Amino acid sequence: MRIIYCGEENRTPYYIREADINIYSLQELAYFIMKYPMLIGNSFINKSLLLFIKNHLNNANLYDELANAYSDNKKDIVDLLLLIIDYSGMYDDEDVNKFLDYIRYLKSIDKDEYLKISADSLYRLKKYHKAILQYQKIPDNIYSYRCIGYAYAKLLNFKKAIEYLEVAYSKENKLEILENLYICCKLNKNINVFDKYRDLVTDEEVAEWEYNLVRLQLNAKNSKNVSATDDIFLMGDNYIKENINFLISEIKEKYRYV
Amino acid sequence: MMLGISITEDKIYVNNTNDNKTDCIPFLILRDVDNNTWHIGESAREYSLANKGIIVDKLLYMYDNNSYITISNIEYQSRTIIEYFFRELLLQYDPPEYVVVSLYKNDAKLITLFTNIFENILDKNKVHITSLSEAFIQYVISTGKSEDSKKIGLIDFSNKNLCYYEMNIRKTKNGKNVYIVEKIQNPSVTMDLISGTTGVVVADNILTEFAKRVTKDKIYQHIYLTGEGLSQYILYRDFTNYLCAMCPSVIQENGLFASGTAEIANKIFNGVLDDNIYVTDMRIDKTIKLVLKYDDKENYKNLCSIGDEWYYINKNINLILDGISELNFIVDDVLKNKKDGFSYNLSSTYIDRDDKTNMINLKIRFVEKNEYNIIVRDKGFGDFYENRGINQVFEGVLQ
Repeated sequence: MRIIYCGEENRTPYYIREADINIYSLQELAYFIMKYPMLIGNSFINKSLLLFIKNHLNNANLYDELANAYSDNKKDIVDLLLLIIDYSGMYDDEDVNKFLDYIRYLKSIDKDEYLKISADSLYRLKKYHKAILQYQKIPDNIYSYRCIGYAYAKLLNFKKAIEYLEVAYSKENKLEILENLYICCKLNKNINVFDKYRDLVTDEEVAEWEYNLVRLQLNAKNSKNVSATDDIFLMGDNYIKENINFLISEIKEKYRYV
Repeated sequence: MMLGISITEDKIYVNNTNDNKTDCIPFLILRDVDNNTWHIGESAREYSLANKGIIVDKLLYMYDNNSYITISNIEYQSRTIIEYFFRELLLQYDPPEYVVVSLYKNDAKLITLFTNIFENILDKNKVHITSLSEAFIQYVISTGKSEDSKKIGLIDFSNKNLCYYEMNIRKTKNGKNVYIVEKIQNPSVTMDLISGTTGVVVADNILTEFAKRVTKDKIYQHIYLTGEGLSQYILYRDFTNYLCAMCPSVIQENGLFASGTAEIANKIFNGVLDDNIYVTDMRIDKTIKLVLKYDDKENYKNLCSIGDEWYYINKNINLILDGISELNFIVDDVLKNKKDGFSYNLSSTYIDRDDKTNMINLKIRFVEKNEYNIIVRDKGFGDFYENRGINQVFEGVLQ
């Protein structure tokens, strides 16, 4: 049991392009390295990151060690990542050993498997557009079609989602794919391809999907984000003008690549 | 040029570092309606005598009571009038590089008032607010007349106030000087006593009794006298005789506080590093630490230390909770060699997530010298997890 000290509040983030995320502390950086090593390329440790560590995380010691190792090209990137993990104070030897085992595993698998793992990670990070690009690199993969369909659905691009889900179903006849196809057609009434699959499912199954969808929609309506948006609109024109820009830029950020 | 401004209820003392001269300006203001100009101090009195306006005084009293002031049918907030006063005051000097203001009373309301006023008039980075106790310390240090283990006393007798300050100097284990100033006030004694024919005798009796009470059984290196009421202290025969018998060095210095305040301005502006620890009404006298590790070896993080100016304490740190549901703090009273502690329970929502992804922001602020707020806010975990909007405020008092 302990409390990990992360330093003084830092408002200047470092942008990790590979994962499209911002990090504000050494601990977040260490977490990213430990959980998402498959997204880390050879150029991950670079001058920008070093300067961020020095100027915004105020960690001169880590900066010095990394800078020396960085300029000494003989050091493996994994050694540099381990330095960061060590300085974060978050992980013990057992965690580090598991991390190294996973790195060894990633180095041993083939390219397509690696792409799948990194695409899944981006999906878990809710970076659906990046996940789609990654899945698309895997040639003619049944799993990828399904995941791309799901990712497009998350981006509210139901037309594309339906396209990919139909291909996915043609290659593997899974009920789960049909259910998602059903939901996409329900959410985009302009495209109703589900009729051609209607005979493949029972009335009970459709009723259950309908029930799940209604429940999801209710949950979404009562969610914190929707309530917050409703509150903004109740406050009057001036308040809306001041606050809506933030919401709009958040939405643009999420759905930029749709 | 730096300015030290010492503020009491009815007088402002200004010392500028160029000529080390202290000006005394009555804390009153007048608006010349015909010319739409403001006048302060003696100038305001002259304009009042010439029937060019009405004097407004007791400005701080009105501010304390949230009063409005009506001048020529225009209603002003008292805060606004006080700001006008100081704008006019600063026009009488060359633009200062730095200003320190020492206050006779150190509650958050008054400190905030003067911080806002001077930040409006000057740059935010050119102002610092402190107390008369601090000014006293810096004045004594600047004279080079202090030794540890001997007391230095100060009696201040001004219009609204009879006050005794006592400075003690100690050494810490690692050789740092600790300057401790305590204050005893007698607000019922004012300079109205010395008006009238028997005023001097009455004042002498009261001052002597006061001096006897506060200096009993103590040994002094110096005793300083300041304030308008003691500018002619030799009129108080018994008082003077008593003090001179008590202490080999009795020094009268009118502009003591303003001088000391200017000395502070000088130090801050010139970035003079000060290894000393000060314990006054402007500073906390204990160290608060957060306990970080609970297993085999305890580990702490200082949130604020003895000698920190309470009004300016603004620690703002991020922490990750790893199996922790409460925050534990240690209060270290270095001067009394005593440790104490307190703890606060965190919201139970923090236990619901992946290991080591519960990040919180912890801020500590002091609302008065010994009253603090600890604010704990959920930070989520960067872009990985959104914050859940949990916000807890814990209030406490340092005993």
